[in-house]
Amino acid sequence: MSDSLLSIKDLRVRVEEKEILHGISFDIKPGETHVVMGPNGAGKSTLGNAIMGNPSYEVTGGEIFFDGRNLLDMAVNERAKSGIYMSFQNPLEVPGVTLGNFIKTALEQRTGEHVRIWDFRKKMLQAMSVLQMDPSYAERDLNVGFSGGEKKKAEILQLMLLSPSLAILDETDSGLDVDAVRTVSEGIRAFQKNQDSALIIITHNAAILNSLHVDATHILVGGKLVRSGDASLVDEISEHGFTAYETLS
Amino acid sequence: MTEEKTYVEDIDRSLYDFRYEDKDAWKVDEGLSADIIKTISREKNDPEWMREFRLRSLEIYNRTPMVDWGPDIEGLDMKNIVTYVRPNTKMTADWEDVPETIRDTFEKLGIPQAERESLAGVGAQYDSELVYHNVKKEVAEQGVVYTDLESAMHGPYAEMIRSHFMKLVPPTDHKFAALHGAVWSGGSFVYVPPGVSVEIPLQSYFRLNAPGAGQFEHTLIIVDKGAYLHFIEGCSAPKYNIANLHAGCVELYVGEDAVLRYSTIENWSKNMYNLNTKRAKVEKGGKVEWISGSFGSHVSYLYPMSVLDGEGSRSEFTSVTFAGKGQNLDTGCKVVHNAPGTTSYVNTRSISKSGGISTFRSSVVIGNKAKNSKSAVSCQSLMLDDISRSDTIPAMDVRTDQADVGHEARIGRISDDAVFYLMSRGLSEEDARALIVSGFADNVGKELPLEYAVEMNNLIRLEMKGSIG
Amino acid sequence: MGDTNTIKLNTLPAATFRWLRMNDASCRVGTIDGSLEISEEFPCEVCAEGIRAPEVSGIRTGCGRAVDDLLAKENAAVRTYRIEDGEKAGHALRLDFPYGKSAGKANGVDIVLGAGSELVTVMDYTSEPDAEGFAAVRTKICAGAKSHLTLVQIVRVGEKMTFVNDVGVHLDDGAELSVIHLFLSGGKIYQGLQTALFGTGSTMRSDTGYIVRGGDLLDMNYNAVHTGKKTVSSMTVNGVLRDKASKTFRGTIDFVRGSAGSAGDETEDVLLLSDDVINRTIPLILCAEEDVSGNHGATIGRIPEDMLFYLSARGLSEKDIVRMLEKARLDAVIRRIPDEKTREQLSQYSK
Repeated sequence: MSDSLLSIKDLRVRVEEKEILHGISFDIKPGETHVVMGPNGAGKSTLGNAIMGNPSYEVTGGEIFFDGRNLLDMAVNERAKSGIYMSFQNPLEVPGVTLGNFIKTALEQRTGEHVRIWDFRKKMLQAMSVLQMDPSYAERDLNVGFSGGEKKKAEILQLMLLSPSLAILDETDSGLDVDAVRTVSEGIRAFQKNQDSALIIITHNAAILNSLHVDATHILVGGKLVRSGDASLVDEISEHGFTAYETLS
Repeated sequence: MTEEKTYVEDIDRSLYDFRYEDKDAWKVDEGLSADIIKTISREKNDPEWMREFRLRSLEIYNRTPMVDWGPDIEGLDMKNIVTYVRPNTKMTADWEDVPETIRDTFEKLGIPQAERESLAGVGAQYDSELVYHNVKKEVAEQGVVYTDLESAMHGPYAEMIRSHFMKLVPPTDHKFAALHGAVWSGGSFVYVPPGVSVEIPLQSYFRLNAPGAGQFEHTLIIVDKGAYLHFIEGCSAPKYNIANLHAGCVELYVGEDAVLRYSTIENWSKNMYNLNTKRAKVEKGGKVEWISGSFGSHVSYLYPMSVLDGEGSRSEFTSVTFAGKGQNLDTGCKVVHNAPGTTSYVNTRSISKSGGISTFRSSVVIGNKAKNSKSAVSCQSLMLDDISRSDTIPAMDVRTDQADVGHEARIGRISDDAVFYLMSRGLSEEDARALIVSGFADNVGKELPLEYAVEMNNLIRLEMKGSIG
Repeated sequence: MGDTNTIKLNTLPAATFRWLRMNDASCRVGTIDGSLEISEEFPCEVCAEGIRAPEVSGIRTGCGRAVDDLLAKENAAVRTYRIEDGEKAGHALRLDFPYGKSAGKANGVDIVLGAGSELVTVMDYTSEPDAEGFAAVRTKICAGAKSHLTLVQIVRVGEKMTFVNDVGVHLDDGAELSVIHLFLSGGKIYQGLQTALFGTGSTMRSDTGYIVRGGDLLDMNYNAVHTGKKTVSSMTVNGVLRDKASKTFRGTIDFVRGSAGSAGDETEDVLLLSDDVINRTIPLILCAEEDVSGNHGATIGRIPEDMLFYLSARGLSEKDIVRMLEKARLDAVIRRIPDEKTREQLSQYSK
C-alpha cells in the first residue's frame, strides 16, 4: 500500500444528521485516473468534499491518507498546499479579485515562492487557449458574472496552472454543452500528461470520459461502493445505467 | 336585526359589514379619565394590583408623546372613543346561551362551524367582553388552560398572570401600550403544560360591533417546556363613519424547546385604527412562528416582535399586507437576538392598490451575545397601479462579527407576460391578475389551515374585484 | 439638545422606530476659522470662479439643510467650476483639500456641466495623521442634458478629525453621473449624497468602498430620488469594519409618482472583522409609481462558510483570505477611477 498516493479506508461521512457515506475504501496510485460514477444522491460529491475537508461534511469514521499523511488532521488550505485540488460544482464569486491574480496568489501559497509575473502570464495564456477562453477573462473578477460553462472552464484553468498531485473533478461536465465538454476534456488531458498526477473524476455521465484514459471505475450507490473495475465498466454503465446496482445497495 | 347596506364605491364586504344596534349594551362615557378607568376596574371586579396597574398606565399614557413616525393618526380623537362596551350577556360555554343577535354574528362569520370541524377551543369576544369560551374536553384533560383573563385572575393561575401580565410589553413601551394597560378588557389566557402538544388549533375571534368604540383585548399565552400550540386570531368589524380603535396586546411566552405558532387574519373594517402590540419571548431551543395576514383597517401600526432570549431559539415571521383604497397599513416585525445560535427568518409580501399605502417596516438587532446567530429577511412588494404607494423601511443593527445577516427587498408590478400567459389559457384579465396576486400572497396562504387559506383568498379576490370595471 | 454646536444631519427620508437611533445623526461642530485654500488642477475646458453658481441654488444634499445653514453662517468660500456645452475635459479636474495639522474649515464647491459635456472630478481630502478639528465640504452639482460626470471623492484624514462631506446633484435629461467614494481613514466621517434624477433617462451609479478601524465612525446617507421617467440608479457599498468601528448606512431609492419605467438597485456588503464593531444598515425603497423596479440586497457578517472553504481549498489560510477580501473590496472601487494618476496614488491601499 505504501505506493498509494491516496488511500481511503472505511470512510463514513455525515451531513447534518444523516450519514451519506457508509464505509468507502479505495486506493489511488500516482498517475492513475479513477472514475466515480453513480446516480443522483449516491454520495459522489460527498466523497470529494470529505477528501477536500469541507466543514459541512463530518467524517465520522475511517481514514484518508495522502502521500503518507493523515488528511483528516489537516486544515483545508493545508490539504490544498500538500497537492490536492478539487474543482467545485458551483464555484463561488469573489468580487474585486481577478481570475489571474487569484491563481497567482494560490500558486504562491502552494509553492511558497514568488511567482514571476511574465512566466506566469505566458503559461496562463497557453492554458486559456487550450480551454478556448478569451484572455480578457484573466482580468475579470473571479467567477463574477461568468456563465455556468465559463465557471467550469475557470476551474479547469486553475487545475492546469496549479498542477496538483491529486485532482478531484466534481461533476465538471454537468450543465455543459457538447462542445464545452470536449474543450474541458482537452484541459483535463493536458493535466493527465503529467505522469505523477492522479485524478478522480466524479460524474454521472460518460461523455466526458470518451477521450480520456481511465485506469479504474467505481460505482457508488446509496453511499456504498457496489462495484469497482477497469475502464470497461464505464461502457457498461453507459449502456445499462445504474439500475442493476441499485438493488445491491 | 337591521342589516345595513355598504357604500356603493366600496367593495362588497357584506360578509363582514353587517351590524346590529347596540341599544342593550352598557358602556362608559367617551374619552379617558381616572374616573372612567376606576369605573372599568370596578365593573370588571379587578384585583387591587390590577386597579393600580390601570391607573399607573393612565399616568404613563398622559405623559407619553404620540409617535412621530409612521402613518397619520390625526383622525383618531381619544376624546370620542368609548373604551368599554359590555354586551348585555355573560360569558358562556354554550352557543345556545349567547343572545341571538350576537350568536347570529358569529354564525355568519362561521365560528361555531369552524369550532365543530377543526378547532380545539374557541373564544369569542363581542366589543369589550368575551361572550363565549369553550375548549374541547380531550384538550382540557391534558391540563391545557384556555379561558378569559378576568376569571383566570381570580383562579389558580392568578400568580402566573400577575407575574407575566404586561411584563413583555410594559405600559412604558409606547403611548398605545400605556392606553392598553389602562383600559384593557377581554382577551384570552392560555397555558399549555410541559410536553403537551395541542394537535389542533385554538382560536379567538374578536368582533367590534359598537360604533366609536375601542377594543383592547389582552392575549396572554404561556407555552411551557417542550409543548406545542397553534393559536389563531381572527378579527372583524362593520364599517361606520366614525373612527374605531383597536389597541390590543398579545404577550407570548415560549418555553424551552416549545413551539408556538400564532396566526392572524386581520380584517377590521376600514374605519379602524389598528394599533396593536404583539410580542413573544422565546427560551432556549424554543420557536415562535408568526403567520399574519393584514387586510382591513384604515390605519395599522403592527410589528410583532420576537425576543430571542434563549440559546438556539428561533423566530419565523411570514406575512402579507394588502392596502386598498383609503388604507394606510404600516406593518412588519421586530427581532432581537439576545443569545447565541439564534435564528430569525422573515418573509413578507405587501400589495398596494387603488390609492392604498402599504409600508413594510422592520428591525433586526443582533446583540453582542448573539454569537453564531443568523437572520434572513426577504420582503417583496407589488404595486397594482400608479396612485398607490409602497414603502420598505428595514433596519439592521449588528454588534458581533460572528453573525450572518442577509436582507433582500424587491418592488415591482405584475408582469405583462404573466397576465398574457394566463389570458392565453382562457382567463379574463381580472381573473389573471387576481390569480397572480393570490400566488404572490401564497407565502402566508400555504402556512394557514385550509379553511383560513380559503378565506384569505376570498379576501384577496374581493379586493381585486373592487377596482377593475 | 441645547448644545448649539451640535447639528442634526443625514436624516432618513422616512423616519422609523426612534429607539433604533437611525433616523438621523448628531454631529458636533468644532471651531471654524474660515475656508481652506483648495489646491486646484484643472483642464483648460473648465473655468473656475470664486462666486456661487445660481444653477445649483435649489439642489438638496444628502446631509441636509443643516450643512447649508452652517456654510451660510460661517460665510464659507464657494468655488464654482464650469464646463460649457459640448466640451469634453482632456484630463481630470483635481481638487485637493490638504487640511494639514488642523482643520476648522468649511468650503463649498459648485460644479455646473453644460449640455453634452464630459468631466472627471477628483476631490481628495487629506490631513496629517494627528490633525484635529472639524471640517465640512459641500458640493452641489448641476449636470446638463446628456452630460457625463464622474465624481471621485477620497477621504483619508486623521482619526481625530470630524469630517462632513456633503453632496447634492441634479441631473437633466440623459445626464449620467458616476460617484466613487473611498473612505480610508478619519475619526468621524459624515457623508451625504442626494441625487435628483430629474431628467428623463438620467442615470446615477455610486460605488463606495470603506475601511473603518479603531474607534472611528462612518455615517452615510445616500438618497436617489427618481423624478424623471426611465431613470436608473444603482448604489453599491462594500466595506470592512475592524476594532471598535461604528458604521451607519442609510440608502434610499425614492420612486416619485411619474417616474415610470425607472429602476433602482442597491447592494451592501459588510465584512465584520471584530466582535466590537457596530454595523447599522437601513436600506429604504419608497415607491409611488407602478411601473418601476426596485431591488435591495445586503449581506452583513463574517466571510461566508462556502466562500471560506472555496478559498481554503486553493491553499489560502484564513488570514490570507481576510486580507485578500479586504483588499478586494477597495480594489473593486479603486479600479473604477478613470484617472490613472489617482489610481496610482491609491495603490498603497490596494497592495
